[in-house]
Amino acid sequence: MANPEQTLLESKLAALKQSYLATLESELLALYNDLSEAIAHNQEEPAALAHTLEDIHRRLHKIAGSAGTFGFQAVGQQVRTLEVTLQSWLEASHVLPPFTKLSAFVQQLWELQREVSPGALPQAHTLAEESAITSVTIIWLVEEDVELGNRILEQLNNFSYTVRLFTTVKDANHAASKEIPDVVIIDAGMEFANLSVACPLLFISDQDTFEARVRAAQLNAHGYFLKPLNIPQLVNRLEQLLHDREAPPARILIVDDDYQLAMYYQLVLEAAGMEVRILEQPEHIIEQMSVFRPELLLMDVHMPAYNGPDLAAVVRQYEEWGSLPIVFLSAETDLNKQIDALSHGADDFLTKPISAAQLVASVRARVARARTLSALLNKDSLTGLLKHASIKSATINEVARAYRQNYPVIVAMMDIDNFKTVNDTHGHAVGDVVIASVATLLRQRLRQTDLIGRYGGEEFLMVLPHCGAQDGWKRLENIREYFSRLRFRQGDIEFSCTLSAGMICSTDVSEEKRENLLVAADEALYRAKRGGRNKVCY
Amino acid sequence: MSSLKRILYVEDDPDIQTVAKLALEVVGGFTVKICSSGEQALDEAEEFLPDLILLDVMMPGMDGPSTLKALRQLSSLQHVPVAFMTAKVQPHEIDQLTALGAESVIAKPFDPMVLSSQVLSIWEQSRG
Repeated sequence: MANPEQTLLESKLAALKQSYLATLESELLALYNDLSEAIAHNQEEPAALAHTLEDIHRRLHKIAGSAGTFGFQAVGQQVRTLEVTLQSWLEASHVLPPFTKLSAFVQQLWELQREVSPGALPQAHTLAEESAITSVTIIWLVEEDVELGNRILEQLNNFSYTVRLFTTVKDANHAASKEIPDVVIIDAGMEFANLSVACPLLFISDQDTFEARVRAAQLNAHGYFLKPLNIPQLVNRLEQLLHDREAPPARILIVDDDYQLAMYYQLVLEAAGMEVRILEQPEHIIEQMSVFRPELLLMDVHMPAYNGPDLAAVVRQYEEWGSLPIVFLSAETDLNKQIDALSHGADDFLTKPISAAQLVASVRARVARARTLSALLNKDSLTGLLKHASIKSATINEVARAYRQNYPVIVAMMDIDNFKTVNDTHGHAVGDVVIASVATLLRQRLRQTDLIGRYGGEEFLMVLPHCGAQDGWKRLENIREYFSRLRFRQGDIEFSCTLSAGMICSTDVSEEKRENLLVAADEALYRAKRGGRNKVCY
Repeated sequence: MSSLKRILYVEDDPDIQTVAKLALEVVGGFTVKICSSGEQALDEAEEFLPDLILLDVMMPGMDGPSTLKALRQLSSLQHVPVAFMTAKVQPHEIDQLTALGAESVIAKPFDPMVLSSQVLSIWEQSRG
């Protein structure tokens, strides 16, 4: 099969595929733009809107017929679904679909575009994908001071982001027609009100005035950083923002004896993208919670067997559920009874009947708050990784689960080589940048299901579930190799660092000795250090 | 003695033009001429003397069916087998297209690695 002609054909097809992807990307974006604009401007003119819809239908049809030829079968099929939907609207006489349906349609187009766009984050990380390419995060920096801009750009490059610098808002707006960044960082001293790029914004400023902060807040800023910039802090926020987009759905447990009503809440919350379970037997609440691990408990006050406040008090007896948000939902309007419920460990009281939008908003806000709080409690402020105690207990739990469910797990320790020299030569601020960049690299190169913690000053502990020895070694080796090639820049000085790592796989240790995994990983790390550093030992 | 050598493909999408030409020439070993519109096909088809014609259905200007009708008016092309290429693959849509006098319908998206054998089997079917 591998004759020269075949190879030539394959390489030509690959090149065509590549150029088609570019076409596909810009066409999907153009479709999205055209349709949003038509909807926004032609509400009053159904004829003009219908005309645009016909045009869009034709273009979707074209993609549906071509994407598969170039190897984008899944995209082709999704476009096909959109095409069929649109066709059914167009065929259904001259009555145009309602606005809500149109906007849902536009949303689907947008998501499809994001999926195709190379800047988009992959949906799921698998071992196979990981070894090939890691996603690229595109950051735009809008800063009129070129020198400062370049300095920030250099620093962010240390964290393997792709950064583009713009010196005017106009340039950024112009570029936004071709590419959409993941995050824009903009100097608050600029005319930022005109910026029209559809992604999260971070502000940098040398002015800490209330007015400037309000202006930023009005533009939906996700952060406000003062110059001179603390880069690890900025990167932390960036990672948080990027991570939020792929944050797992909120898990909600509903306790209500009215099963119909519970089902209704479940539907409403699930439609908002949450994962919802209904507790059927109050006696099993703790068991169910330890399996499902809810992030919020939504509970009726009056139930025949056990009432809500009693159940809440039981939940609070367990230390691990001490900070779980508990929200009561009830037709109770008696203020005294509400206060009584709150004193039994509930966090809030929602009065029935409640609108779907209000329920979703209340639950979402509380889960977000709880997540922030738990991050503050459990995560290291420099790296955003789990703290020593948290990673240690998480490791024990994960290892126990792996033996119980009989899958392989890797425990690994990693340490920055000669870190003291970095601190002594370049100062602690630079040392912090190096530590934070290891953390970012680990997050970027490991899966979401992997546990990563800052175990000590420049030491990291990782747990990789469902991962065999060979895979795990390759993964660590890949991180080590990549890090050794990173160049850190500080003013005129340029330097690089290396990492050493040691690992052990659960398949090499019997279950009775499972608590030795950490020690074994530490010993392997020691061997790597003794063996000359910049290596991964197993 | 005749075998399938010359294929005329009428298609407006430049991406598809390129990949189809590559697929038919390299994989199938055919001689391929591309026309970007029905109008162009009417002007240039007779000179090319195709053994078989592939027609995209949805094109701006003359669409596939009207191109077929017009090509059939040209005496040298009256009996050349024609296949439609379309992303519409509902059974009734296929029946409508074949009723217009096409030999067959090839579904889009097509696989560039198998397009040639699809075309060849349509050709054999038209012979036999």
